Amino acid sequence: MSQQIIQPSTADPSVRDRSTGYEYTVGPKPSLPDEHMRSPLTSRLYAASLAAGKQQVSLAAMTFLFQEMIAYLHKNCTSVTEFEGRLSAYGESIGTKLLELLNLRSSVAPGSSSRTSTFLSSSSQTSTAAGSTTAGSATARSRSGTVTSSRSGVSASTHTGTAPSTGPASAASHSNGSATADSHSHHTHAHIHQTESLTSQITRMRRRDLKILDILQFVHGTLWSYLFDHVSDDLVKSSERNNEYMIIDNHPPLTQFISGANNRVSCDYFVCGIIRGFLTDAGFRCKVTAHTMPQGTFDNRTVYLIQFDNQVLERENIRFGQASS
Amino acid sequence: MNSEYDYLFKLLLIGNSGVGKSCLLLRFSDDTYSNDYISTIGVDFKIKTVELDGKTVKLQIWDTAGQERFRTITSSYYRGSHGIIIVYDITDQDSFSGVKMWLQEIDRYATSTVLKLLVGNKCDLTDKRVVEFDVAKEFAEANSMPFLETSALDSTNVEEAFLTMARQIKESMAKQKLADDSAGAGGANGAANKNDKGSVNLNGQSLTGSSSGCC
Amino acid sequence: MAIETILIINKSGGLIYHRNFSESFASKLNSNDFLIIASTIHSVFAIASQVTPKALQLTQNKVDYTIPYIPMVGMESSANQNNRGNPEMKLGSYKGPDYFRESFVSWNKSGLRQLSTDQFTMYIYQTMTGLKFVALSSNVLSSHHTTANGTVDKTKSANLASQVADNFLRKIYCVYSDYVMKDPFYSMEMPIKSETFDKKVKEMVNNLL
Repeated sequence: MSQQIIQPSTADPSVRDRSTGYEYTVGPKPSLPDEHMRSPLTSRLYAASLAAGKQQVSLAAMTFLFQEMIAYLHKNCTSVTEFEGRLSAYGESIGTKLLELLNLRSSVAPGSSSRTSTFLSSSSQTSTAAGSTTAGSATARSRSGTVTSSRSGVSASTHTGTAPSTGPASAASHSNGSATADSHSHHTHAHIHQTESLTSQITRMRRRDLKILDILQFVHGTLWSYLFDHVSDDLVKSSERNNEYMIIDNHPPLTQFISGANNRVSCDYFVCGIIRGFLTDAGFRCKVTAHTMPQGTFDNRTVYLIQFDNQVLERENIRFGQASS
Repeated sequence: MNSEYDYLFKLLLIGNSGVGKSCLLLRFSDDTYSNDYISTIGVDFKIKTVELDGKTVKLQIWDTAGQERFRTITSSYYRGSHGIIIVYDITDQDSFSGVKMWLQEIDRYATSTVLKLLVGNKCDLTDKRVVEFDVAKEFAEANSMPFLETSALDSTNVEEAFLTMARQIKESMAKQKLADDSAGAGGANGAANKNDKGSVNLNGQSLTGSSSGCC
Repeated sequence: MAIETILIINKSGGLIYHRNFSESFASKLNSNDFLIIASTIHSVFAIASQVTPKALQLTQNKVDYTIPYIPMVGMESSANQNNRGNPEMKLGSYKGPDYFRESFVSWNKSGLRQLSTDQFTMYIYQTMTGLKFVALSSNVLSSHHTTANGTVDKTKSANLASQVADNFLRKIYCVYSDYVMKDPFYSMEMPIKSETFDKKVKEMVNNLL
């Protein structure tokens, strides 16, 4: 989809020309479009390339959805704690999934396509292999930790071979399996399936983050860019407690329209949930809370306080010694 | 900013000319009574502030003109009203017959969920009564709306009429505030009071400046 | 154009927002007075719709209701976009450097648009849904306004002021659609309590001075 800004409805000529405005007895008077007068509906959707660069979700659509979610929870919860807990739980399932997705995407060699682009990202230079099912299976592998080795192309292609894919995808994966190391070269019959896969671009799976700092950097950078289209404004280590870190967003996009500082911070627990789901699933058990901390012109400045379990710190100490802290 | 009140409810008074809508309103808002008859021109407003469940509610009552010649404008006042009070005069059979017509008006111009209330005014004039209580009660039940007899002169039931309505409207509004139980929840649950900086320490040093960069 | 007061009147004639920006006659009124003023404006508006000649309403396709876009009304003059340096508009929102960039058609086709007195001028912007944004300006449209060649050109200046007001109030409508409509804690048709909205409106009014 192109990045068409949704304009007020006056921008639509069919409304501009026909509507006669607001009538105080009946309300708005939108006149029906004359079907025979209109040219056939040509949606930009059909013309748009599937391989558009950066995908953007409408802020209005997002906030209205979020608003409904908040309103639903608000109606069904009796206390702030319950509300925050349930909202956080919503976020956690997202965080869990993002851990898989973002790790896979980060494995794509830079330059082949934008990191923020989606699964069906364009890449005119690369040939294609299997369907997206193989990509999915590769994700699962990377999560279970088998694909952390450096045997890049080989491991990726063997996994596609094990995927229970059918049709052209399986045919492609067979060829992929035989192709071994030079997976980029000859996929003669790959054009059958136009859906592009990231697997061909992945020469080496990203290593799972094992250090607290590394995974936090990943949250601060990659996760934040994926979710909010910008890197979080700061990543801070608590000067008092060893296990506490803070991610700071000066202007949280999701809750920016919500009134009342206390209400807003409660709604930020959705993001807390995402962070928590992400970290917990990566093996860093933690608690995440949101706090408002206005600074300068940033009235909505929010601090996500991450408190890791002690076992995480202990593990880090054993594994990496004092060098990590 | 208009922070003095949390809710603004629009109530509408309708009924034939001369049934005492304005007197009823005057009794409710200012607790006074005037024997002079002044026909309302177009519409008149009265505002009464009440407290309901700890919320400040402003009841804005639109006192419409009963006279036929103002009818075209009156219809525009139905839009968006939360409650409509139909008033008739217990000493005037015509005004009671007119209630049916007013109900039709409501159906036409107001939302279907609007709260209705039937009020028989001037119940102090017992010797001149022509509309029996039971008849009106039956009629009100048939049209599924509550019914009250009031007197603007000796202020019988006037407060009740308005406050019943306000309470009903308030109930239909979504609940607004969750109980903040964080004090009892303990620090472990993490939902400590957000402004209470004492319980959480948010001091620290930035790690982003020295980071070797991701993205 | 100095704005004294901004009112927002919902479609049923209830006042859902009011704010005074200067110490003037308006600040001497209490909240009940403002409620009555708002509802009176609403009623007079309805009456005005009735008295608009039918002939005009029938031929209204020939009347041009287009309001030209006047850039940066109520915005900060210097383009110091402080946050993140991406001033491009956000998809599905009016957030951007100037909210909108095109001329628009007034939805207020039969009601009241402007009320001029010796004390103040009132501008009304009505939305498609019947919401009314009202600005009270202390500027009196003086009859001494002269153009370059010395002739009195009152209608022209009145027109310009009205266009500026329409542009300005439309921006408040944009802010409203963001900060009030997207607030899950707002109940429809009820007084606006959002302090962020209040802040935005205040900013815009101050920029207009």
